[in-house]
Amino acid sequence: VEGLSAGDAETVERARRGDAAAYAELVQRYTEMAFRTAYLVTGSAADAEDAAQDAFVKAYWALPRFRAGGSFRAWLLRIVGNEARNRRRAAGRRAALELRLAGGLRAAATDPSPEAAAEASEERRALVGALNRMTEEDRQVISCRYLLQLSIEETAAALDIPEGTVKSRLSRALGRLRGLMEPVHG
Amino acid sequence: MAEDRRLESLLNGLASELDWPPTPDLRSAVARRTAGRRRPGLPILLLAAALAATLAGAAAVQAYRGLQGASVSRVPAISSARPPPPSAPSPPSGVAASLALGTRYGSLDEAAAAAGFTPLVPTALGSPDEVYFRPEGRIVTLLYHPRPDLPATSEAAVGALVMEAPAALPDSPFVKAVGPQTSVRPVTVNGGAGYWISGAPHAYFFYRDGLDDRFRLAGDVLIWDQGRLVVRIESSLSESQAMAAAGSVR
Repeated sequence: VEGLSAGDAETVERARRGDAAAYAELVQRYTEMAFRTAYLVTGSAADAEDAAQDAFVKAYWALPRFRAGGSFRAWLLRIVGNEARNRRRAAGRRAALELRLAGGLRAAATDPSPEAAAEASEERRALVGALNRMTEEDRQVISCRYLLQLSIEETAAALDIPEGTVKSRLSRALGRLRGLMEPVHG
Repeated sequence: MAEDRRLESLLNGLASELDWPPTPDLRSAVARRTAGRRRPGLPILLLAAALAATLAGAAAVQAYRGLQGASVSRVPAISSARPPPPSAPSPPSGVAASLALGTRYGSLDEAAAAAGFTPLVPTALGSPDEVYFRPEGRIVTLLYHPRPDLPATSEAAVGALVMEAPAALPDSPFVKAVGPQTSVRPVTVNGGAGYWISGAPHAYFFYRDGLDDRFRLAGDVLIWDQGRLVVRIESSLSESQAMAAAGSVR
């Protein structure tokens, strides 16, 4: 997920004035972030795609209401999160999200030996397993903050909760995640 | 706590190692659902062509390269789609149509009356052979035919295009261009800020005030602020020749 682009303000301003090419740039820039955020909420790639697409269309028409100087990412993520939750509610089912490690992972460059690499790999598998055992609420806040690398403000927008709630929920969720990991380490 | 920091570090490291579903390409679908409808009060300039260009190249938009205040985004291709022809009383034809120059006028004065500003003429190039005005972007174009001191460009019937519009160059221009050889160099023309853009066979230039436009010819471009206008010369002229032409605007 890309970091905050220094060019956002200018691109958004051009898009606000009706520059379609500028908006296409924003769509390109933030599709991955929007899609993965929606995926974390819906648990379905197809629903996430629909939600992200709807969010970009709604954001386009809402651009005149975007507050200049604000964070476009956070503003967009709020729309994405709402669309994803609506879609999930409409589907009438709980998200069946299961995080998985990509196959064929190379050992991290910092792993000093094959043994250490194997240990690190095992640790990553244990971490993913623990994340999958967490409650949805815990997993979402941790995923937004760390796996999507969203800021506190962006996480709050995506999940439609106050920033203070993000911080307290994160703290508790990390504690529970540590607990879920301990049997592996023990 | 050290344990928390280690866990956070592990989670951050995990971000790039997860098996995410492939990210879909939403640009076409979003463009379809937002094009053709106009947000109230917002001008849409060269929407179709600009979007087509973005859609064609955006998948591979590379890193933005800062270059003395300018940015170049390199793309593998820009669609050859032309901007939509203006709603002119007498539709243009030939090269003027393919370059989307707008309506042809019989004289500079007539074009000036339509445009609402007086176009400048680079006297070093002489009087233009043809004059056009396009309402989208309020662009007046002076077209010069090829001649011994003005070689033909990628368009055989065109030696130079001088395009002018009431706009202002951005502090940090953004150029979307094809080809690794494109360079953008700041220059000063008649006391105004400008850029010499070379090696850009196809490119878009984005202005400060929401206006963007593509370069028409596979040549080099001199573009600069001239009072309340942005003027650009597209031609096969060298930089020094283009600068001399620019210095002669009256």
